[in-house]
Amino acid sequence: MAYDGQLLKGTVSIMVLKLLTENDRYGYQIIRELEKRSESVFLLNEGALYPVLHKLETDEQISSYWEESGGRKRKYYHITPKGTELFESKRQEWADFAGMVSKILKEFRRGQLCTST
Amino acid sequence: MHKYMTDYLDETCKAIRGRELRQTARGELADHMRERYGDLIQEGLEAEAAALETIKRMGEPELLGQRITKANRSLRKTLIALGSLALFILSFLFTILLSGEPIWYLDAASFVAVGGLSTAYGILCCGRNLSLRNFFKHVKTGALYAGGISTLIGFIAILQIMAVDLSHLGSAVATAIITLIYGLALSAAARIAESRLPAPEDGVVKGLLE
Repeated sequence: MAYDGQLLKGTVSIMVLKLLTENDRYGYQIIRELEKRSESVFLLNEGALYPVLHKLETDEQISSYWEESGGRKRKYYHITPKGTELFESKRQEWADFAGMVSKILKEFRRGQLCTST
Repeated sequence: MHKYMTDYLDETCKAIRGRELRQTARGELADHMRERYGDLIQEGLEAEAAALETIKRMGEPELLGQRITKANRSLRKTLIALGSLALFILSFLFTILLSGEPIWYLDAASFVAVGGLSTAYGILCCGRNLSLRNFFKHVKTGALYAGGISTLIGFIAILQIMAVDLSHLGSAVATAIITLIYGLALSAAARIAESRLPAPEDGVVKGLLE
């Protein structure tokens, strides 16, 4: 199922931060992990990940370092304490928001059932 | 690396400002694309199809380059740069005002010469692809040529003057150098104008994505 891009917008950063709280990762690893965990529902425009990562780094939510891997240098990202703090607050914000939307939609559906009977 | 992917990286990097950022971003994107390409080959795709699929998944190259540039802009660095520039201009103006001398760096004829040459260069280089962005892109280079050529003409005139009359040597040297300053300033202004205008939808890679 293709989801509205507007729903995904704004949540990519929080998903990236979540993955980085678990382990340091590089760009392609993040993409693969998002695909795997979303069961291929979230098929991001892969290039779009990099402006997100760079913005998070500019804002000091994450930091980066280069590491040799298979004879090539690879850029890894690491979440900073500032990033961890942001992630926790955004996670809570998302949980509250999603809960509120679900509640409204549930009440709307109950309203529909009431009017139909 | 497949040629389509190299072309994609070239297109993307053209839109990234800053040599260091261009190099690091290129390395990072190349690494990503190599892995995706490798996975697609393992899934059974032919080389060309895998390369096309890889660049398709990366998205529009010029847009990606612009977004990478934007994401790396720091408000603090911009404010420091603007503050330094303002300080430089203010100290320059302050020195002029304190000295009580007329403002010799304003020379209409020199400005018209450099501006005219840059404009002509910009229009001629655009040719059939005349657009505002293309125009500024060429004026950016043309202004440097115009400033340089005008300065050389000025110095040739100075050498002629030196043989006859040394009393106007100072103002002749000043006029020659002013054209170089105008060329640099016009080039910088054209660069800023170009970066503010939307990027055209062209390029090798877009044709491959359609």
